[in-house]
Amino acid sequence: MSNNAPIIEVSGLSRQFGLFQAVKDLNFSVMEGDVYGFLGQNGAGKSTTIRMLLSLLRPSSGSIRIFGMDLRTHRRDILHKVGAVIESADLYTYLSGYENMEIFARLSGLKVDRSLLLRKLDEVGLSDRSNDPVRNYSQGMRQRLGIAVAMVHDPDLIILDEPTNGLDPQGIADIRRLILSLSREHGKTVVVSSHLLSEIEQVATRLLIMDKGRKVVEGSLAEMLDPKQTVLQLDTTDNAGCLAHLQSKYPGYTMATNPAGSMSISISRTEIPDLATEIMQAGFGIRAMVPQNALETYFLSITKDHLHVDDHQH
Amino acid sequence: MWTIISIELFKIFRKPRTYIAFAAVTIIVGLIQLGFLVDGETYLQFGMQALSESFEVDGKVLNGYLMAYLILQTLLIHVPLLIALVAGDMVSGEANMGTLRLLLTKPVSRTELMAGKFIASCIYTILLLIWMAIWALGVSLLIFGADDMIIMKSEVVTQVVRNDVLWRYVAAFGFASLAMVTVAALAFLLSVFAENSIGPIITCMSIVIVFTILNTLNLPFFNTIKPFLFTSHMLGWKGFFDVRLNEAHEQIVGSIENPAAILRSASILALHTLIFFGAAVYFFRRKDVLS
Repeated sequence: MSNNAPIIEVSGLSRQFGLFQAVKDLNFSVMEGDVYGFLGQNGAGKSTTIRMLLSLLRPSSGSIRIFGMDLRTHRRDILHKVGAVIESADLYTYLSGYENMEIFARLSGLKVDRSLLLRKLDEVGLSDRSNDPVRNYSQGMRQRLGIAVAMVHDPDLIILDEPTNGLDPQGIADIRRLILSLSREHGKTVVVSSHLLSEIEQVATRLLIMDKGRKVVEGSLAEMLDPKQTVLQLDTTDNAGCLAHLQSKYPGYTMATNPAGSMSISISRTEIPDLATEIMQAGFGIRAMVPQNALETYFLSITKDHLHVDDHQH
Repeated sequence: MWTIISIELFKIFRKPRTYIAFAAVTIIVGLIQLGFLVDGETYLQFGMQALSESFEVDGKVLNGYLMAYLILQTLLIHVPLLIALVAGDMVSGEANMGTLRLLLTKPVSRTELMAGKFIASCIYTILLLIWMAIWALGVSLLIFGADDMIIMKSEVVTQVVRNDVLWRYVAAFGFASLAMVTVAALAFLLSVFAENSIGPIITCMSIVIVFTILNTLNLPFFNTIKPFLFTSHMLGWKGFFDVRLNEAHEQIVGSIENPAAILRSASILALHTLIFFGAAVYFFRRKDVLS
């Protein structure tokens, strides 16, 4: 639940790589207790922004304040209170899980307490493999260890960049549960980026949607989502013919075909029965008619230029 | 700072590649010792033919001190590669593994991190030189025994009396450590710009080889730049074995013929080390971590 104190305040943040503008004039704030979701397609600027939040990249312009301190002048003080996993959790593969924990605990300024570190490993289900070299860990185990390493010093702010990359469904569910637990049970502020809309939808209290390096929209899920609107995935006996028919019948509606041959149409939920009747009366058989989830619908509606791309991905 | 240094040393000595260097030194020194144990007397008799016509050579010429001198001369050939193997991996290896970004999300300043990594590289370098000293000097003395040391150069023959040799080796290995720390600093600087360790290792070795070749070319243009190349000073340790003679042409025990030259070489190496390390910190502080 959001409180009033801003943990992160970003203002006029830009980053240019040569001629490529990765992030442009970004403004947003993250409140204490938020699970703040960064949404956007690959290349939208999410990772660049997160790397700037962690001072891994220098902004071309703009300012970042975290815990009320300027990141440029108080980097060390800020990082004492931050834990992060950037994309895949890359660790020292020739060392054991415990040794990795010990190294990063010491770098975080902690006095090493073996029982504490083992307890932290136990929390992510790795206590029985703590002495194994990380090179023998699965991707999911590495990601869990990465999260344990990020949280070894009990930070107030946790930044997770694409934490579900490369994970199986069970691993994704574990990360989701962990984020919710960090926020609800431990009162942590979490910033999480992902291109998986459904994952963000299930955990985020507030969202920032980015596209081509710019902020498209920022707000809570309730503020963004129109429960009446959806994108319908439609598969008929003649998709090309059906699409031509619907385009003439519903001019102004956003429609597209997917590589698999099916169609997407942005439509109000109340119109779905009429649409089905129209298709059948025109002589097309309906094989499937699946409404997409609410956030996805919203995301597609505000990044229309990328509708085809999104249809390929989802 | 000690925390970072100890962590870096822990990582260095948990990597198998670290032990390649120690194994290589052991094998190279062992092979040279074996060769001289089998054929050394013949080899030395051939080399001392001209000398024996003018002087009567008494005692054991092929002894542990001479062996250590011969082995230390190979320093420029293989040790820089063994140093670059670790120092060139210090930053680039982390970038390659993806651990650099994790390290930099911890509350450690970039300057401190670089200083810790560099000091750990220097400690590794010094330990490798100590290892080399143990084998080249200690084991050679065990195998070949101790006696006065006769060094044959192109124009002069230097004799250093037995009880005046050991401190010269301590100084020589100290100087050699400084020379190798300079190589480590160069490899360390190069590793800041790379995403894997192959590039810095090869580039560092290429620079050492090119500069060494320049040293051997006796051309006026190169002669003007030679004094400023760090490779020109890497064999400065030999100066510790140039002894001063009194009026009766006897060795002055504890003397060095040209201490100023040794000091100048050491200063140039130290200056190069500082410049390489300073540049490494400067560029790393501005580095965008994209890996």
